[in-house]
Amino acid sequence: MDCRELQDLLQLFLDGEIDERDRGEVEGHLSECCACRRQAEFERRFRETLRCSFVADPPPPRLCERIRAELGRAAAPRWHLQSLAPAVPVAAVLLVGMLLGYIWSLTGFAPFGDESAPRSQARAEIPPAAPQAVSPPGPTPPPAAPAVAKTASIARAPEIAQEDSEREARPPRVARAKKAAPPAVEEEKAEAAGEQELPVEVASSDPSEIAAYLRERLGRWVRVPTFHGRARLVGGTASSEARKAQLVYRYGDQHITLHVSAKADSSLPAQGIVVRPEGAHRVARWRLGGLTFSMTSLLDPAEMVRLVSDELRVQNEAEALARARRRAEEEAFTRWLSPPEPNYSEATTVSRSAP
Amino acid sequence: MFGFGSRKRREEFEAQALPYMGALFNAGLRLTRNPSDAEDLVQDTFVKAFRFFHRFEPGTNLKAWLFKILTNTFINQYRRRSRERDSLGVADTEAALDRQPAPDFWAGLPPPDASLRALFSDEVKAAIDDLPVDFRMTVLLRDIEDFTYQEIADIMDCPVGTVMSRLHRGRRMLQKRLYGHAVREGYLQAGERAAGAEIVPIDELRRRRDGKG
Repeated sequence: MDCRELQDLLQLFLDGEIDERDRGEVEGHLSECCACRRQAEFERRFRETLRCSFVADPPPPRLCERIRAELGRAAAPRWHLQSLAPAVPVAAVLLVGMLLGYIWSLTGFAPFGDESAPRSQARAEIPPAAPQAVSPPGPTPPPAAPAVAKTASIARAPEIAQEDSEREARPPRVARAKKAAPPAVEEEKAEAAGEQELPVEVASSDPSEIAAYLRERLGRWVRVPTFHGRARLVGGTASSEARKAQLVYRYGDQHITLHVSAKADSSLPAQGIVVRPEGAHRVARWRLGGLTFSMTSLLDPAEMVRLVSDELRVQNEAEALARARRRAEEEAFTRWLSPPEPNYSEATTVSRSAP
Repeated sequence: MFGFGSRKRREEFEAQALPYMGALFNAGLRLTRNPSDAEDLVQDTFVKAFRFFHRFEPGTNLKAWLFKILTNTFINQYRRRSRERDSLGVADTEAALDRQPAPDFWAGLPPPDASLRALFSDEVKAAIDDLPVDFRMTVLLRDIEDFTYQEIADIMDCPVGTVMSRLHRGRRMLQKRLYGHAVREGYLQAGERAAGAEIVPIDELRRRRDGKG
């Protein structure tokens, strides 16, 4: 090896990227040639000085917090809060509502209470994006204990006692549940009247506030349906041990209780709403995104189905949109990061020894 | 779908990726030359990496993957600024450096002690910052972050030969600049140089410096 050949290999040698055969030759030449040895020593010291002199700037402490907060936001399904809040155009909601009402009045379909309603007709009522099957009631199931009765164990938040029109503007007030249990019968009677306030831990009509609170309690996001604003959110209660949440809405002069369970109830159809009577109430149940929703109210079953199917349609659309967006983003990311995905396998790393 | 189970995923990501925040921030700082932009860049990098974390193949080099995202994010943002676009390219004049032998001053320097290192650190950073962006990134990835040629080629999406060439030329530019600095600061005499390097008497260097200052 002569000095010119060494020049070609010196960088590879010093950077530890040379192969074994060439390394031997370079070392051989360096042991013989004073000028090249001097140059190699200079280059080596330059690298060393560069590395040693470079004092890394510590990232500002807030950066870590910033990143964690951003990751938290990124982890949250963004379309929940966005799509369920006022993003749904009011006109579209009205149109759908009117259309549904029209169909309802034409067909006279009642998914509950009208045993003669044929199944095929029941399907026709649901818009295409909505669940494909509405289960008409089969033989009347034995009346179970009303789900709402469970709320009796949670004391009434005093702040909620006077719900009024100013609620929108008020910040949420948290009233910790007390384990005072009024007689269940009384509770049921009160709710049957549909007038008394239901207990909530957080009083707020803002879905994002309720979602944030539930997330804090349950450690996960819970979709907070808004029913297009037709039902007004009163508040929420989370039960951390059961991994369930309960939301309370006001619908006209009625109350709606919505139980959300982290468990997917496999007895329910993947898509569709099942309405059953439970005592004086009707309970509409459906599955969505690994959750089971259970809505209890004194409303007319047709009205319940209409509320729920509208909500589901909006949710499904939002979900499809989110899926499409995510797919597009993934494709864009792949394009952005490619061509072809580099293999960073440690195995391909050339072993590097200190020059 | 509902973000359920995302907490575990997030914790896993944070445990694996956040340790590289310091390295990414430093690279971001050298790239953007601005702490605030560097923070934004690093944040964008982490958010992107998290969102597409499922595309990362476990057992492969996460640091290289994160640096690739950082680099791409920077380039994408950088390219939007048309004003700076030109400096992405390599000035033809820099090619001349390839043919210029290195100044031989380093051989005469004592090993850098702590104080000297601190003095040098700012100058080293300034010198790196003055490199055209491709050279800056290559030198940083190799000499500071210790990536292999192949990893740098993957990160910067270019052939290994280009990495070697940029590294060679980038180091030459650094050497030239730091040589001037070492002389000005009196770390070495102007005579301590390699044959072929520009001969500038120390008095002339001082005059130039004072004239600029």
